[in-house]
Amino acid sequence: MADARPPFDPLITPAAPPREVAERVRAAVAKTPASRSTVPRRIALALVAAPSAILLGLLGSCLVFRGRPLFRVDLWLLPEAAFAVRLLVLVLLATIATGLALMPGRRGLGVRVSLLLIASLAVAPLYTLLTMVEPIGTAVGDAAARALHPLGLPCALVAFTVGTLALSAFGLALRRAVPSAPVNRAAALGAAAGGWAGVALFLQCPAKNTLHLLVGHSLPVAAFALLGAIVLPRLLKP
Amino acid sequence: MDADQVMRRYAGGEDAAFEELYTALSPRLFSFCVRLAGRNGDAEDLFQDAFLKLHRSRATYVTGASVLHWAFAIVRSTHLDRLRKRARRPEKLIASTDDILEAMLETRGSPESELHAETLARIVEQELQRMSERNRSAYILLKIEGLTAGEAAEVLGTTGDAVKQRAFRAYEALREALSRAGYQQVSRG
Repeated sequence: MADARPPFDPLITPAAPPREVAERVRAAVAKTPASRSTVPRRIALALVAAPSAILLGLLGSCLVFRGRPLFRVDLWLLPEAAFAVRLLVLVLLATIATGLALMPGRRGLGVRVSLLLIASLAVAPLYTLLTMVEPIGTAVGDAAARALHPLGLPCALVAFTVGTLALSAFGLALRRAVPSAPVNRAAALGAAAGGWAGVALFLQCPAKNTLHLLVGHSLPVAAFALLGAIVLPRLLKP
Repeated sequence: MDADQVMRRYAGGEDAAFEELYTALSPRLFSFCVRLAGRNGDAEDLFQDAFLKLHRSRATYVTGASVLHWAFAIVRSTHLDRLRKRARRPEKLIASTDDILEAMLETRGSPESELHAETLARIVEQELQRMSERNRSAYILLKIEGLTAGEAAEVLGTTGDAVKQRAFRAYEALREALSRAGYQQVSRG
């Protein structure tokens, strides 16, 4: 039915706006400043901002929680291949979610809604799988993890800091640039920010405890998709 | 005049391109506003708000994209915001103004065919205002503006299948309304 037209359609032809409306539009446009910063430039800045957010968040956590190391204490003792592969997959997950959320798409209205939904919903479960199924670690890391908060509240705070920085950068990149599906786009941006927060936690925290990983790591990562969907749409709409 | 080219210049900061852009876009955008908002005053305000937003966010236009589809999305987003601002009050059925209908029907032939066309257009307009915003916008984009299901889906922020379903529901409602008014020969689309 998408290709056929009902017989009364030809009756309806475009009607030009009245002259006074045109004058009102011209006057309003004349006194309204327009942004000159193009979206590709803003997206490029946001892509730089995401890894920077990780570094800032980790540095900030060292200052706030005294004694907390910048990177996990057993970083250099971990099995290299296993650690590199897992880190790479986590970075890839965050990158793909970021790409889907930021890409302008073929028609400049973003990628398909189904892809945005996948990005919004897939990051947190995949992150949980990658970090909780056979978590990598060492005896040194286990010893350090025993001193950590059982629920991982400081980790949640680190995730919140990194995620908020990334989400702000993504939000500014697409400010007033999303006329279509702003909630879906915002949720995908939130999930991407959560993905980068997850990468930061993976680099810093050696915990293998299930409760710690769920509450301190996975929950904040998941929460960012929701946070994005609630907070960002107003900023994204033209 | 290629509207996409003009928009590219305007997005690049060429203020002088505004008049060309307005000339190229305003008839179809205004008609879209009329069909979405129905009431003449509302449609005019919607058109003004949407055009202002288009101007304000002009740097976000992606080169190579269809400016018309982008503008439709801005109009629809603005329309939804305006509906929300009205505290979720249901839209009341108010017939379109004669001015708009006259503008739409100005190129008709004999008085009989004009009357016939006007009656049909009036029924369509009234029924469009009676149905849900989702069905209405899907129907307008697909059946009146001639977008493909994929294009309409991107403008409306949904899937192609959802657009087809909404447009079909709208079409069925219009068919029923025309049938009630005595137009029996409306074939299914």
